Amino acid sequence: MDVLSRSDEILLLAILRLKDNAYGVSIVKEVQQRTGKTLKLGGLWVSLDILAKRGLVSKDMGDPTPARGGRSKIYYALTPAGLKALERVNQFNRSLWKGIRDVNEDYQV
Amino acid sequence: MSNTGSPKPPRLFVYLENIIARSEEKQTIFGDMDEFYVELVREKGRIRAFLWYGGQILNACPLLLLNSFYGGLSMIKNYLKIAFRNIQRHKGYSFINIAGLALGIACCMLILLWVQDELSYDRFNEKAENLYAATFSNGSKVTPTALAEYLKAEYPEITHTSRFRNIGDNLLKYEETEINEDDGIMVDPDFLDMFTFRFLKGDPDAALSDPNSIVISESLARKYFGMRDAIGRILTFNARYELKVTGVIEDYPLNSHIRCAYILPLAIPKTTWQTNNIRTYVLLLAGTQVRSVDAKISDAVERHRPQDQRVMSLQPITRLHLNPFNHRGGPILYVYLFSAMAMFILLIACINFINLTTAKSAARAKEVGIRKTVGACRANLIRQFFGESLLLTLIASVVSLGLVNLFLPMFNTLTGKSFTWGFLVRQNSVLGIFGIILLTVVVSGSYPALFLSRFQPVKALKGRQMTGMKGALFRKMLVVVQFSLSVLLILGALMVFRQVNFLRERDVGFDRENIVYFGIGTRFRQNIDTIKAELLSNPDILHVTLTDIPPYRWMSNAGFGDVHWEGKTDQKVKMVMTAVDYDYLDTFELEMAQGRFFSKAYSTDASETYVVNEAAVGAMEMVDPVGKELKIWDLSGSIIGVVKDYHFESLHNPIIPMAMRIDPNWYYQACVRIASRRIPATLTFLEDKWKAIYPEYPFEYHFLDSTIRNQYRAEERVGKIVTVFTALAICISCLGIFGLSSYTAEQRTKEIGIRKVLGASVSSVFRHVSREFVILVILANFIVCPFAYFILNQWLHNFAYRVGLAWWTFAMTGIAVLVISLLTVSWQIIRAATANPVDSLRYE
Repeated sequence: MDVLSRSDEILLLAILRLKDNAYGVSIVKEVQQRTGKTLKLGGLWVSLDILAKRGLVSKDMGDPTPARGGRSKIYYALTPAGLKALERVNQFNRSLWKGIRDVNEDYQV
Repeated sequence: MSNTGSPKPPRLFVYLENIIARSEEKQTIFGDMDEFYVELVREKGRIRAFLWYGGQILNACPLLLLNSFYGGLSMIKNYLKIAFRNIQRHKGYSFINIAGLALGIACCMLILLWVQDELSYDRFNEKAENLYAATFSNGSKVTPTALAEYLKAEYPEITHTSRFRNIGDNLLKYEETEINEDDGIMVDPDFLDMFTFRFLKGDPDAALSDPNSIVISESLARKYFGMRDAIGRILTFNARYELKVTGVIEDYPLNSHIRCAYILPLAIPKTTWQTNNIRTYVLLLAGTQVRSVDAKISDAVERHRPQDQRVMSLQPITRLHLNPFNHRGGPILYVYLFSAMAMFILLIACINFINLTTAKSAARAKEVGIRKTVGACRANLIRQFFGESLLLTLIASVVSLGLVNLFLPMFNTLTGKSFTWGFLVRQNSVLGIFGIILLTVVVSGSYPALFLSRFQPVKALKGRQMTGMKGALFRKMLVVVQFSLSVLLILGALMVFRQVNFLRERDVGFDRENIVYFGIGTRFRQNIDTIKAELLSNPDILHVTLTDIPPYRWMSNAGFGDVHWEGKTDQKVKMVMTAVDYDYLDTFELEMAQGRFFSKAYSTDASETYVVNEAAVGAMEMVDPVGKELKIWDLSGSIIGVVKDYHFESLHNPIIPMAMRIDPNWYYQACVRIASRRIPATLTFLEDKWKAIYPEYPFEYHFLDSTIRNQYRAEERVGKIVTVFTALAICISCLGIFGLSSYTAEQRTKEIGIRKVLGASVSSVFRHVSREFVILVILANFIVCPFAYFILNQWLHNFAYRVGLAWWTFAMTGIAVLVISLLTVSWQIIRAATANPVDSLRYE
C-alpha cells in the first residue's frame, strides 16, 4: 500500500474542504490560506491530472464564463478511492504522532 | 464580454496559450490564470499582474509539453506501426525512396569529406590565424631575401618572420641507404616557432641554430636509422655536405600548402633586395588588424628597389591552398562547385520523395479522413508525416553509411586523397552529417506533411478529392526542377571534359613530344660544347639545348624585368627574360616570325642581342622590331628576330611578353630532343653520359609532354569527379520518374483500357501517356539553358584559353536526357499499354 505524498495530501484535503467548488483558482487560494504556499497553476494542473489518472479524483467540465476568457473550469471531486486514501493518511498521521504532545518537550529526555 | 470594465489578459499570452495547449481540457488552466489575473490587476496593478501571468505560463510550458508527449507516446507507437506497414506494402516505392535518398546522402557525405579536407588546409597550425605570407599584388610570393629581417625590425606588429625555400628533392645518404628524398625545405629558425611542428626528439629552439643541422620527419628517421636514435647522426646531403640530425618531427600533415619531409636552416645571406627568390612568412601579434599592417608594408620592396612597383600585402596562410593566386581561381572554385553539386543531388533525391509521397496520397487519404474523424488535429497529422519521412531518412542514412563504406576506396582513387572512417566520425563531419539528415527530413517531409494533413475528412472519406490538378501540377513542377538540375550537372561535366581535352590537345606552339629534360650543375655548364658534341654523337639524339626553365615549366610571375627600348614613350611593359642557347629554336621546333634566331656565325649574338616573342612586339608597339635596341635591367642589346608566340606557361595564363638572350650563367636545365625509336636505349646512353660527369648523383629526367599533361591533373580529376556524381544524379532522377511513371500507368489503367477497346494502338497509347513526361523534360531543358550558359561562362573565364560554349553541347545534352528519361518511363507505360483491356476493366 503506498501512502500519499505530502503534496498530494494537501491537494486532496483542499478538494475535500472545497466540496462543490474545487477548481484551479479556488484550490490555489485554499492552499495558500492554510499553508502559506502559493502553487503554480501549470504545476497544479499536472499534479491534479496525475491524481485523476490514479483514480483519486474525478474531473468535471464546467461551463465557460466570460471572466475566464470564455474558457471553462474543471471541477475536481474526490472519488471513493480518494477518500479512502485520505483516511489512510489520517490513520497514519495519528499513529505516527501518538503520544507526542510537543516536539521540543518530548525530545528532552 | 458584457463586462467591459474587467481587464483582458494580454493578447501575446493568449496567442502563446493556443500554441502550447490546444485541447479544451488544458485550456482550462488558462481560464484559471485569467481569473487570477483579473483579481491581481485590481489589487496590484497591471504590471505586476502581467509579470505574474508571464511567469505562470513559462512555468506551465515544460510541464504541459512533457505531459502531452507522454500522452502522445501511444500515438507514436501507432504512427510507427503504420509507417512500417506502408513501407512493406509498397515495396517498390519504398525501395525507390530509400535507394534515392541513400544515394543522395552518400554522395553528400563523400563530397562533404572532400570539402572539409580542402577547407582544413593549414588550419592545424596553432597560430594559423596570425600567419601570413608576403605577397605581391600580382600574386607572386617570391620576395627578396632581405625582406624578412627588414619587416621584423621595422614593424612592431610583426613578431616573427622567416624566409622559406622549397628545395625539392635531394640526395640523402646514411651508410648504405642513399635515396633521393622529395619535399625538402630550407627556413630560418623562427619558422619552427611560427608553424606547428611536433617534435618527437630534439629541441625545437636549437634545432636549426647550427647551419649544418637537419630536422627530419619520423618516417625518414625510420627509413634511414630504423630503431636507432636519429639524433646526432650524420646525413650526407647531396654527396657534399655533412648534416647532423638535430630533431625528429611527426610527419607533416598532408593538408598543408607546404610539403615537408626534412628541414634545413637557410644559410644564404639576408641582405639582397635586388632579386626576388625566396618566400617570406610573417607572424603578426595576436589581434593585429592585417589591413593596418598591409597599409604600412605596401611599398616595402619598392623603397629598396624603385623599379619594382608591385604592391606588397599579407595573405593569410589559410588561404594559400584555396586561393593561391590571390584572385578568384584555385581550389576554392571546386569547393563551391562540389558543394553546389552535393546540394543538387540531395535536392533531387528529396524531390523523388516528395513526388512519390504526394502521388501515393490518394491511398493515404482515407487514413487521414478517419484519423481526423476520430479526433486527430492537423498538428498530429503533420507530426505523423514528418515522422514517416524521418523514419525513411534514417533507414536511408544507415544504407548510405554502408554505401560510403563501399565507395570510400574508389572515392580516394578518384580524388587522390586518403580518407578513412576516422574522417567521418570527426566532430565537424558528424555535425555535417546530422545537418544533411535533418535537412533531408525537413525538405522531403515538409510538402507531404502539409499537403496530406490538409485533406478534409468528408471529401477524403468519400474518395473524391485531391490528387486533383493542384497536386499534379506541383509534382510536374518538381520534376522540371529535378531535370533542370540534372541537365545542369551534365552540361557542367561535359564542359569540364571538353575544356580539359582542349588544354591537353591544344597546339602550344612548339613540339613537345620526345623532349627529355634534366637539371644540370656547374660541371656541365663549364663544358657545354664538349658534352653537347658527345651527346649528339648518338644518332638518336637530335638536338641538345640549354635554358633556365624549359617551356611550360614556367610559373607566372617568375620575374619581371625593368624594360627600356628605342622609341619608348610612357608605356609600362612587363617582360620576362629567359636564357637560351643557339639550338633552342631547333630543339623545340619553334618558328620565327621575323628576322633570325641566335647563331654562332655572329660573334655579337653571344652577349648583345635579343630575340623577342610576338607578344613583346605587340606590347612595345614596335613597327619594325628587328634592329631596335632593347634594355632589360642593365642588359642592353639589339633585337635580331621575333619568334612566333608559343606557350611557355600553362594555358591558364595568356602569353606574356618575353625576351630571350644567350646567357650561359643561367643554364639550369638541359633539354634533349630524341628520336622516337629506341627510346630506352637512348635514355641509357644519356644516363651513362650523366654518370661520367656526375658519378655521385642519380640521373633524373622528365619527359616534357608528361609534365605538360600533369599541369591539368587538377582539372582532369575534377572532370572525373563531376562525371561520377552527375551519373549518380541522373540515376536518382530516373529512379524518380520511374516511380512516377509506374504511378501514372497504374492510375490510368482504366483510361488505357477504354482507349484500347475503342481502337487505340499500343504505340498511340504510348505516345499519349509518355507525352506528359516528354514535355516536362523539354521544359526543363529550356529553363536551365540560360543558367547553365551563365555559370559555365563564369568558370571558363578562369582560363586564358578556353573552348567556346557551342550550341550543340546544349542540344546534345537535351536529347540525351530526353532519351534516357523516355527509356526509363517506357517500361512501365508499355506494360500498361500492352495489357489486355479485359483485365484492366474487369473489376468495374
